[in-house]
Amino acid sequence: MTPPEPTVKGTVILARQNYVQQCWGAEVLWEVKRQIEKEYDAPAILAATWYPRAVLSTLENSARQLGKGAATFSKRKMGSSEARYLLTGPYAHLAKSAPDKMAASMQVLFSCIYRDLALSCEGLVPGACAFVLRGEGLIAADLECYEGFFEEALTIAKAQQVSMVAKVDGAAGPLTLSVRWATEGKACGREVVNVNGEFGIMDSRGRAMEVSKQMGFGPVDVVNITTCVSELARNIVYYAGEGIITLEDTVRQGQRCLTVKAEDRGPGISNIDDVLSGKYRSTKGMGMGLKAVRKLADEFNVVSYPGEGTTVEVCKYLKRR
Amino acid sequence: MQRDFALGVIPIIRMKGLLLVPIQTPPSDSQARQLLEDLLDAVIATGSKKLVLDVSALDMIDSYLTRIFYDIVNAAGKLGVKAAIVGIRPAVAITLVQMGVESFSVDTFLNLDAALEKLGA
Repeated sequence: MTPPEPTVKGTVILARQNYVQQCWGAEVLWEVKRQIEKEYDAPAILAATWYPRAVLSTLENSARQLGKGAATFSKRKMGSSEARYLLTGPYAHLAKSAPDKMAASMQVLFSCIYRDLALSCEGLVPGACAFVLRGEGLIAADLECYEGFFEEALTIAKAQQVSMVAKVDGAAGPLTLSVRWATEGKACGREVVNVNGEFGIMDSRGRAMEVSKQMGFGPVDVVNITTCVSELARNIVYYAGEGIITLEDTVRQGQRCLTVKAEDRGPGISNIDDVLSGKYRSTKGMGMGLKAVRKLADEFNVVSYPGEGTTVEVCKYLKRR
Repeated sequence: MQRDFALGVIPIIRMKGLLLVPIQTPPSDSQARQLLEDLLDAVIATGSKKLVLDVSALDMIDSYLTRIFYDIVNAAGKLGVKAAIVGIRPAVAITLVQMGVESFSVDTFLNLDAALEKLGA
């Protein structure tokens, strides 16, 4: 069987363990160096390595020469080889300031890579960084196989005040797992509200108002966001009973924004197009909760499976004033 | 001025032939529903001919609340009561327009003075 190529996924370079063991050589090293150069504008380059420190140093040096900044750190000894990670770009300081935290989380992430999942950098927030795992063609059922992994990763995540989200996009879409590390004193803004009953609606909109004001949104946007959250919370309470709303101060396409994610495990929406086009009118409101949310948000995405629940994600960009 | 009915945090104030309802914070859904019922009761009990909802303290009006206001104004209309909403904040007004709340076709006024003038104080 041919070993897989080092994967280049946007901003990240990965080398798989078996590949490294079997055919690491001057040629491959050169190829990776070339990729680092090619991805010069990328925010971060990451290499998973189980190979000798000398190889890593070479990579680290070439990244430094390109002015990207780099740091290596190691964690676990596996037989004769040691797990070493190379992180370059603006997040190199993370590896330096909290090598242990970084290493522990990376280790779990990389155990995923060996199961043929790819890793990429996404949603980079000042003071925090995120890595996203994607396995092409994975389906919801595959989640079960990774349950153990998620639990392990989650334990580490909790212990270190980082967040971890596992979700499956679309029916056979990529499995996405994101992990965030918050640096000391600069925790990335993230609020999770348990929405349960009327108080949950009031609580969530109060928090939404607080967070959006804190982030510096203008008065109209603050009302937009608060209204969106109120609608989403009400949908959760009325249709699913309870759920979770996550408010997150993040960056998308280079722009700071607030994302609101409303998740429930309710009956789901089977006629989503009708709901959004206004054909369907509920008996409980004006049948326009979701429609209003879509109009008020800059980005709007809803995923729902009948019988499994609904996830609505909206995003509001922070405009420069 | 006399406080005849008080409901949670939403007072219903009777002044002459007018019922004034200053809504201080966005009410919970059940509070809002209760307000609808209590207001109509208050209208009957006091024989008021005018009803003014003051929403100048509200920093958010979502679709549910919009619906409740619409119901209050229209139900009051059925009882022969002129009802109006006053003091919608600019940011809230913009949001309502952005939401496309066409059903919010009730009489709204800049402030209490304007409403009283129109309703005939």
